[in-house]
Amino acid sequence: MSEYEKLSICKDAQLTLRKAREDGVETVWDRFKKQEPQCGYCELGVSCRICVMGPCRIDPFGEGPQYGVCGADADIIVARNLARMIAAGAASHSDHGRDLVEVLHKIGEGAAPGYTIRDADKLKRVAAEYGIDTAGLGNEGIAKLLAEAMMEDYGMKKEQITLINRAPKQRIELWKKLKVIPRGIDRETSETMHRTHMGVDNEYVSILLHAVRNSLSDGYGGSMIGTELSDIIFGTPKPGFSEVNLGVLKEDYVNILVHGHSPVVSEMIGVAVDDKEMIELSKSRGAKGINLAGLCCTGNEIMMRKKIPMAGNHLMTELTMVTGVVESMIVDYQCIMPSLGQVAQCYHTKMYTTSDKAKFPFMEHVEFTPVNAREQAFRIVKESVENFSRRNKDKVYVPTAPVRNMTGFSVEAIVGALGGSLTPLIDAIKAGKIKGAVGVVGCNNPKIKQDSGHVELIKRLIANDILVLTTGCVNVAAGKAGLQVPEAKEMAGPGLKEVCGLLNIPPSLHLGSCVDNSRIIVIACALANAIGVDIDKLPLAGAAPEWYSEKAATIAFYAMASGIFTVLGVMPPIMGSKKVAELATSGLNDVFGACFAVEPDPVKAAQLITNHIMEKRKGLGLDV
Amino acid sequence: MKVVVVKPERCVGCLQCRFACSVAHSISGSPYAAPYEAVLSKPRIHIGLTKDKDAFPNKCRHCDPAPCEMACLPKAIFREPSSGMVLINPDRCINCGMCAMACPFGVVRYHVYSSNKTAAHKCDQCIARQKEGRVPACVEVCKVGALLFDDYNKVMDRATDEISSLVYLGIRSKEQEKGPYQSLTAYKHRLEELRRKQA
Amino acid sequence: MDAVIIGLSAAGLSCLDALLKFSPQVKVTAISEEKYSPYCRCMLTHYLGRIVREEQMIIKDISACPPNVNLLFGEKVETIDLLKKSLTLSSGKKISYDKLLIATGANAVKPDYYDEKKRTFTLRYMDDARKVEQHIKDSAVVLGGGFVGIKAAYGLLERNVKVEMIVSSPYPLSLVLDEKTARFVEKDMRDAGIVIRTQDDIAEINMKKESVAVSLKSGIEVYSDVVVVGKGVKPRVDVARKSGIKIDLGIMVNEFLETSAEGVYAAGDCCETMDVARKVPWINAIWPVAVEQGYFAALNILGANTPYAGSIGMNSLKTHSFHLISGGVLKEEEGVVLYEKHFPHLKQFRKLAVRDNVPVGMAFYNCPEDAGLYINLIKKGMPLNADPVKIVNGELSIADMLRPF
Repeated sequence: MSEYEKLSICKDAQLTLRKAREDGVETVWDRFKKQEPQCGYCELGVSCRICVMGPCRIDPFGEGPQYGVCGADADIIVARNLARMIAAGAASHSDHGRDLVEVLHKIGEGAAPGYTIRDADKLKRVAAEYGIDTAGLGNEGIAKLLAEAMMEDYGMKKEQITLINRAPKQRIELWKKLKVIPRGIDRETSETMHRTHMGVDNEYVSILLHAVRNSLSDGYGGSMIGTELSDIIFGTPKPGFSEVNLGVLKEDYVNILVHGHSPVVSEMIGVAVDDKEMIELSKSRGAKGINLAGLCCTGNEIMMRKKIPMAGNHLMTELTMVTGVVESMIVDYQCIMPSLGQVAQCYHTKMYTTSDKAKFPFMEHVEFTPVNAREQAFRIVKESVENFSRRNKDKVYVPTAPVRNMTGFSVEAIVGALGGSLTPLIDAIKAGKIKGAVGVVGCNNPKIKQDSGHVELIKRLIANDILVLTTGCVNVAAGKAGLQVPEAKEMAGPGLKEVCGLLNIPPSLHLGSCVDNSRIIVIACALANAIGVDIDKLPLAGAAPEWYSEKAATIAFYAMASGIFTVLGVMPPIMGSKKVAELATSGLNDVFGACFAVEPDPVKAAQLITNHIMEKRKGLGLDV
Repeated sequence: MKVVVVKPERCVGCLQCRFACSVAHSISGSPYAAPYEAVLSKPRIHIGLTKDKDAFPNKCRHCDPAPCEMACLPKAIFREPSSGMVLINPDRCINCGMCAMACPFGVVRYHVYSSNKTAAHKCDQCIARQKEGRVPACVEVCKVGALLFDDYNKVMDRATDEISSLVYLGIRSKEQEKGPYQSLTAYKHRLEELRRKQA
Repeated sequence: MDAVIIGLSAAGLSCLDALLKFSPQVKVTAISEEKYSPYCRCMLTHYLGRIVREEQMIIKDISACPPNVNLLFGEKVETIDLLKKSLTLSSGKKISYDKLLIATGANAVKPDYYDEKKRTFTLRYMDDARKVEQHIKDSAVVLGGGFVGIKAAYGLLERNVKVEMIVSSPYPLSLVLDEKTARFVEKDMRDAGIVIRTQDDIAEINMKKESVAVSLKSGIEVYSDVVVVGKGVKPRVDVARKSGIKIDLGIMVNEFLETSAEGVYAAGDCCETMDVARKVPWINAIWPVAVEQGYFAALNILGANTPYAGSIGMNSLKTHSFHLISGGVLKEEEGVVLYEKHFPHLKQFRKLAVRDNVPVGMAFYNCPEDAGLYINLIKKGMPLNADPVKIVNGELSIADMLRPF
C-alpha cells in the first residue's frame, strides 16, 4: 500500500496527493502529522481557557490538579467546553440561515436584483406554518412578512421557535417537560455563552440540557430556515444526475470552483458562467467554455438544484488546485481551510472571498450583497476567464474520469417519487423490504482515511436493506464510490434493491448540504406523525463517521434530542469526565430515548446501527 | 547511548509530556481508555516551577553509578545491561523510600502499579517503546524541543559548536537562547517581580 | 591479582559487583559466615511483617557468578597475616591475597538482660528473625527507639501483633532527630496503634508461664510473646584488631578506604570514615553507605585511586501514613542555624541545619520529592546558594536549585 493509499480511499486524492508532494504543496495531512500526537488534555476535553485565571487543565491520572483555578472539576469543564462547541455549531448554521432570511427580506422589498422566488408554493406553505395570512398578497409581499416572522424566530419575542411544531406532539411534550424547547435561535446560543462564563451554570446536567436546547434552536431553527428559504429562493431540488470527483474539472475549459456553504453567492456565479458573453470571452481566450464545479456544501447546494458537478469534499479542497486547471476559487464561509490561499500561490489559481464574515490570507475580497451580487459575480467570472492564459501547461494534471451521481432528493422530491405521500415508504418499512433509514452525515477528518468511514458504512447498511440518506461531505464520498446511482441497487439487500428498482432511485439518497440535515429531521418527524409514534420508536439512526466540525456536534445533538440514535466515528472531547461520557453513551437514553455511540470502525458501526434498527422494529412489532 | 536530554529553557509548561507518559505506561495505551483503568497510570516526568514561574521538566537521568540503585535494599532498582537504563522492578520493591532519599534530582515517586502494589516509580526511558523503534513518549509529544532523545555527548558537542561559531562571529548572546516565548516569559517575570515588591 | 573479600553483605557484595563490572576477569574469593545466599538484613523487619518471603530477601544470584569468583559460605576468618598476605579460615584453610577487603560489618548490641531463653532477641541475622517468628503469637515488646526498633515495630504491626515500645530517651529517634521532628513520628506511631513508653528501660525479664514478663524501671510490668532489642550495633573488628590493623571506633582507613596495612581495605559497618556533617571520623552503619563504600573500595582495589569523600548518617522511614527522610546532624550547636517550617494542612514539615551556608542536617517529613537533593548537598558538603528560610517554606523548589540559570 502506498503512503497515499493510507490517507484516502479515493484514486483522485491519492494521485493528486503524490503530485502535491512533487510540487512542494503542504496539505492537511502533512499538517496533521506535524500536530501529532495531539494534546491529550484537549482530546479529553479537560482543558479550559474560558477565563484568564486559567488556562487550566485537569489531570485525568489523578496526580496533578483536579480543579481549575475557579474550582471547576472535570465534569464542569467538559460540559462547558461541549456546550460551547454546540453553540458555535448552532451559530454557524443559524447565521447561514440568517443570510437567507436577509435575501428573502430584500426580495420582499424588491431590492435584490438577480434573486427571485423560485418555489412560490413552498413560500406559501411555510408562510402558513408561520400563521401568515397570504390572502391577496403577491410573492414579494409574502416574502417580506415571512422574512420578518423568521427574524422574530432569531430574537426573543416568541416563547418558542415556529418550526419546532413540525416535531411529533409526544416529543414536544418531552422537550417541554425537560425545559429544552428553544425560545429564540440567537437567544439560546447567547445563553450558552452566558451560562458557560465563569461562575454561571456549574451543574453539568444543567449545562448539557441547555446545550440540547441550543442544538434544537439550530436543527428546528437556523438550519431548517436555511434549507426552506434556499428552496424557496433557489428552487426546491428535483432528482437528476450530475458528476463527482476531480475529473469534473476539464483541461480545455476555464474551471471555476465555488466553495463554502451559502448558495447565495454560488447561485449568482452560476448565472454568470452561463452568460453567452462570458462563454464567448472564454472562447476568445482559447478555452472551449466555462466549467463551474462545486466543493463542500456550496457544491451540494448547487448540485442539488442545478446538477452542477462537485470536484470534492472537505479534504479534497486543497488538492483541486494541484490539478493546475483551476482558474479561480470563490469561497463564502465555513470549512474553508486557511491554507487554501497558500496552496493557490503554487499555481495560477485566483482566490476570492465574498463574505465580510470570512476573509483569508492570499485571497482577494470581493464583497457580495443581495444588492450587488449579480455584478460582482460577472466581475469574478470575467477575471477568471482572463486568468486562463496564465495557466502553466506543465502543471496540468486531471487524474481521473468523473463518476455519475444522482442528486436532488429534497423531502418534496422523495414524497413525489413515492407518488405523493410517505405511505409507500412506511409500507415498505412495515413489510421489512426496507428495515429502516439512516442519515449518514458529516465531514472528512484526517484522523480517518478519507471517505473510508462513509463508504464502508453505507455499503454495509444498504446490504442490510437499510435506506441511507446522505448530506454534506458524505455525498461526494458515496458518489465517488458509485453508491448514488440507481444501478447501485445491486449492492443493496434484496428488499431495498426491489424498492430502488421500482422507483428507479439509488439505495443512498443525496439530500443536500449539512444545513439540509433538517430535511432528514423533517422526514423523521413526518414518518413519526404518519405512524402516530414518537421519533425514538422509529427504526432510524444517524451516523457521522468522519466528522470534524462544531456544526457536526450540534447536528449530532439535535438528532439525539429528536430521538435518533447517533454513532460518531471520531471521539468527541468528553472522555475526561466519566459522568458526561456515561451520560452521552447511555444515560441520555433514559431522557431522550436516544444516545450516542463512538465507533471508528465502520464495520462495527454498521453492526451497532443494524442492531439498533432491529430493536426498534421489534418495539413496533415489525419483523426483523 | 541515547538518553532524553532536557532543555528547560524551551519548556512552556504544557504538561503534554506528563499526559503522554501516563498513557504510554498504561495498560491500554490509549488516551481515551487510560483514564478509565482501575489503577491510573502516573506520569514519570515532573514539571517543576521555579520562583520566577519558569517551568522545569525533571526526570530520571539514569545516572551511572546510580545513587538510587546503591541505596535500594532489595535490589529492586537495577541497571538493564543492554540499554544501560536504570529500571525498577516493582515486584521486588519494599516501598522503603531509600531511593527518594538517595536521588539528588528528586524524581522518584511512590505509586500503585497495575498489579495493585505500591512501589517506587520513575522514568524507564520508555524501554518498551524503544524496543519497537519508537522514541520515548515524552519526547514524541514535546512540540517545543524541550525534550530531545539523543546521545548526550552529541548534544553537548552541538551546543559547543554553536557557541564557538558565535564567538568566532563575534556574536555574544543569541536572542533565541532566551526561549521561544520571550514576551510571555518577560511578562511572567514582570508579574512575579511586582508580586514580590508588593509582598 | 587475587582479591579477597571478607563478608558478603552490603559492602562486600557491592565491592564484588563493582570488581566484576570494571574488571570481569579479576580473581575474587569472597568469604561469608552465613549459611544462606546473600540477603538484605534491612528486610528482616519486612520478613517479620510478612511483606516479603524469605526468598525475596536474596539479593544475589550466586549461581550466576562467573568461574573466576570463588564463594565460601559458612566460613570464618580466624587470622590475617599481613606480612605473608594470607588468611587462615576456621576450617584451617589458608588463602593468600594481593588485595583484601574487610567488610565484617557489625553486631547488634546485646544488653545485660539479653537472653534468648527468655525470648529476648536482636534482629540482625536471618536466624534471629526465625527465632522471633517461632515464638511470636500476638504481642511483642520492642526495646529501642532508633530506626531499627521503629521499623521492627511497624513490621510487627503488619502481622497484627500488639506492639509496645520501650524508649529510654524522652522521644524516639533522639540520636538522629530533634524533638520537634521526632514528635511527628511519635504521634504517627501512636496513631498506628503502637504503645510507646518513653524515658523507661527494662529492669528485668522473666518467663511467666507462656509469656515473657518485662519489668520496667518505672515499675510497670508488661507481658508479651517476645522481646526484640534494637539498641544499635557495634563494629566487628576482632580479626582486624588481632592482625594488627589500626582500630579506633572501627577500622581506620585513609581517603582511599585503605587501612593501616598496605593492600588491605575496609568498608561498611566495620569501617570508620569521615562524617561530612560532623567533621569527625564516624561510623554511619547504614546499608546505602556500606554499598557506596564497597563500590569505592573496589575502584581503589583495582588501582583507580578514587578518594571517598565521607558519609553522613541518613535514613528513610516510610509507613502507610508518613514518609520521613533525614540526614546529617540536626542538633543545636555552635555555628549551626536551624530552619524549620510546619504545614499542618499538608502534614508536611521541613527542617534544615546550616553551618556557614553549608547544610549539615535535614529532616523532611512527607516531602520526599525535595529531600534527596539536600541529602546529597549535605553529603558533598556543598553550599546552599539559596535562602534556607525559603527552602523550608517550600518557596524554592528543586527546580530553583537545579535550574542552570
